[in-house]
Amino acid sequence: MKKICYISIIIVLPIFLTGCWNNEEIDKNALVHGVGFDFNEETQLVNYFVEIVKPTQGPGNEQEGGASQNVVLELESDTPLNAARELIRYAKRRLYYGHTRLWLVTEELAKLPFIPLLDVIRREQMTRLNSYVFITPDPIRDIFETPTLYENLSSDEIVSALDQSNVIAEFIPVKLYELIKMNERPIKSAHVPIITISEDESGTTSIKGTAIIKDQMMVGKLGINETIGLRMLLNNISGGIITSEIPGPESREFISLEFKTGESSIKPTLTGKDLKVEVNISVSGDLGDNIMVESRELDAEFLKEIEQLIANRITEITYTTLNKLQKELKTDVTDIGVETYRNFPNEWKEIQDIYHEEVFANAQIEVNTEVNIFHQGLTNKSHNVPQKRPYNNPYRFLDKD
Amino acid sequence: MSRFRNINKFFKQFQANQSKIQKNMPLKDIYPKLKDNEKYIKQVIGNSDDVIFTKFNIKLPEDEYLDAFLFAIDGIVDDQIKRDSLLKPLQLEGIKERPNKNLDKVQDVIQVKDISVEKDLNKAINAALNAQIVLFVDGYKEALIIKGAGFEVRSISEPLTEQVIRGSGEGFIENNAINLTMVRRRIVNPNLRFESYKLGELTQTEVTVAYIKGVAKAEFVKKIKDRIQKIKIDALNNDGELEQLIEDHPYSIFATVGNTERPDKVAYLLVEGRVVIFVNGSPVTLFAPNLFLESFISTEDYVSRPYYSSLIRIIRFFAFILCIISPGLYITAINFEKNLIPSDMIVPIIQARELVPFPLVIEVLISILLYEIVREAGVRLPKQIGSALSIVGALILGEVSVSAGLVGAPTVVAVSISYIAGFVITPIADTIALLRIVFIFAAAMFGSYGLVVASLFLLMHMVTLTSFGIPYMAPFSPLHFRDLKDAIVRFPTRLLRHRSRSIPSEKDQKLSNAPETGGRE
Repeated sequence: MKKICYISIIIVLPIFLTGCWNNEEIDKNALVHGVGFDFNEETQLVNYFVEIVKPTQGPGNEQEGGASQNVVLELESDTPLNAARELIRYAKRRLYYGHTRLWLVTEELAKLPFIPLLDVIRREQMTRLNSYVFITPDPIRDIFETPTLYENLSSDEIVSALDQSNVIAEFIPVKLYELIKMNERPIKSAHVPIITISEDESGTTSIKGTAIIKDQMMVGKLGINETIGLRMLLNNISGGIITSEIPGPESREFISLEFKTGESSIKPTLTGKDLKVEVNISVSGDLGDNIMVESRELDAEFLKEIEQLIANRITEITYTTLNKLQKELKTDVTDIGVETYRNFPNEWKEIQDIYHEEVFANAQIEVNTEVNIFHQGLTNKSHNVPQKRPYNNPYRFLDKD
Repeated sequence: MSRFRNINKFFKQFQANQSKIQKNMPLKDIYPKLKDNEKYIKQVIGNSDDVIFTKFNIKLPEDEYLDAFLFAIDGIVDDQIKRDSLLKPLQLEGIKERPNKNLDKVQDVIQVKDISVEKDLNKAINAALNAQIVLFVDGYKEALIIKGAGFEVRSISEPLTEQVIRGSGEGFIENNAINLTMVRRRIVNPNLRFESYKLGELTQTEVTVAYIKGVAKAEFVKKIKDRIQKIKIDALNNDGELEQLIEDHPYSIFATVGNTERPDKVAYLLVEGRVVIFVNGSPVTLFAPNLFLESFISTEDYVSRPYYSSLIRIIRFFAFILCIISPGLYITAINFEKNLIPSDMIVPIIQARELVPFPLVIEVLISILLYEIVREAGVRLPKQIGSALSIVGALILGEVSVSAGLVGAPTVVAVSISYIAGFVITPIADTIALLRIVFIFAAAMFGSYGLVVASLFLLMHMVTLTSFGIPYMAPFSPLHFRDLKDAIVRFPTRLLRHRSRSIPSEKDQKLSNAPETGGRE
């Protein structure tokens, strides 16, 4: 009988409990999907932005597109956690960061040492480390409020684009943990994609180039083509298109490679402060565009020519990227520094302080590229000018002549 | 616990007293005088309209007559037998010489061959109540009991609860004798045994235990028979009562005795070494041991190709888990672990939640309550009003209740998924309905922790269950590796050469030779 009593007390008691400590109705929360950091020069404080799911569907939502489904709040504060708590005053609900997938940092803030701001995000149990980081030259509110094409929230839409990075080489998505990891490498540099609002009529967001971060702040940026080169150097070749112009007298003929796989290897040799690097890139894929006025049979010989053309183009792009990194930015975000550190750990100690400015900037880098086209499409023939079909008049008897 | 033991003791005493009171009726010799017999019968049985006494004379040689009467209950004996096989020969042809001591001569004339002689009047009355005709003859202290049952029975049709696409269209009916023939026709073997018991002092319900001697384990059969014999009850109204009286765990929410309405399934079960119990008056038969696995197996699995059957079985298991866990998991995901919800799905969910004024748990419970009400109404409702119910039901369980803000659309989906999944496994549908609510409470109070603990408790309970001593969770716990060939997936028939180890049987092999096929001859 005692046993029964105990068991029934155990069963009955929890009914009076209000629930487990983390029981919280979802409508008492404001679900944050994107967070932005901006710098206010007047007050020298950081401006925090959050994009929150709008819990109620506004009327006329269909015509305005999905943009009306979000709420953007803004607050000035000195630390991120403080801001997160203080935002409750505006949001009237507790902010929930478990679904935050996007972190935006403005260029103004990025030019200051901004990485320590992200430290709390790394340690907080609510936030996701597999969320994405971007740097933007535009105001954060504008990015959050751009009309979206498909998704409900701008943050979601930006993030959904990143899943496509295996077929496009023009941006390198960086997750929060990757950024933190990059910063902790011996070369202490990182790269973060840049997002902007496109200037055409659509006004949607687009990813344009890569920001280069050294010593916890942004030192410059790479353009779209230079990003492709960076991808090659990072051994992060998963998909994309390389286009090359066919050298000819006057006609603009293009040929392109849709690469599927690839590999790059870096072989550094360090003697004193002289760094010599051999970069071997091998890329393989399908023949893409073939815009030619005088068509040619897609035979082995021709493919070999194309392979050489594309290889040259890749080498050229890579050299451009290296040039910019070495001469202009004096920052190594590629794996060259890491490889040097791995191969010459003892010598590294001496050069680590001057690595970016002296060693990397003056390094002699040789890029060798090998291209392999393994498929040329469904036909071996190039586009031909169609022959005129003979005119076949079914009403020949009506012809009077 | 001591208090409980006292209660048990009290119950035992009470039962003993009861059985003393309801001792079998005393012996009562048949009176030699017809009038006395009739008087006594009327005294015992009362003035019921359906009791008929057919008085007539048995023709003797030399224009002599012998007074006699037939005692039977109207409607349950065959009138044609009575008229053509009893009255006609006795009245018109008569017997050649006056019988002296016993009624052998009379017996010879009667054209029914299933006749027994009874000397006890009370037993004779009982026989009449059991659809037999009793013949009393003036001057003799014995009566003839003639088998002549003839009453209306339902025709054999496919059971509505267990329909199959490819398979037999026969189902059991309420009459035990006919049910047994259906089994006998399927298992033509002298070892098939039917052993009958009469249960219920008032109802005298015939309960038949069926098994195949030499296949079913003798101790197992004995265990069941012993339990049935120990029952002393006033009325045994249906198979469910018997089930609850003999099962191992009467307080568990799981039924450890199975039931079926299909003769083909019963034949299959008997051959496997199980024991089947028929209860007269109910088309549902009980079988034991009943394993948890049983709910996921249909006889049709063995008819169709093994691959599709296996897929369907996996789906049934999946449906079971989905059914009990989906509302609980939904509550956990929304109230506790918001990270569980895909980020792209959160917008519609939060928008739906915003419109509902109740806490999520109440919202889920409201929709569960509505579902149960509609389901219960649908089961009991006459067919003519059914369409009206489905209109109203669809209103309160669907779009309208969502737009009215009573429940949110995701809740309706989560609860509907659970209910639809439950329809896949009908044998344990009632158990599932309870488990679902248990899981909702566990999740509402403790979130994912509650779900895990509740599932552990459920598993713990399930592995302790037995069906007449056979583990309920076999072949998973205890693990009978060989039986897994016919558990979550079904192997091709020619590979299933042995009987299941989970079910006790005296014969191991069931397929000793299969022809070599596949072009290898």
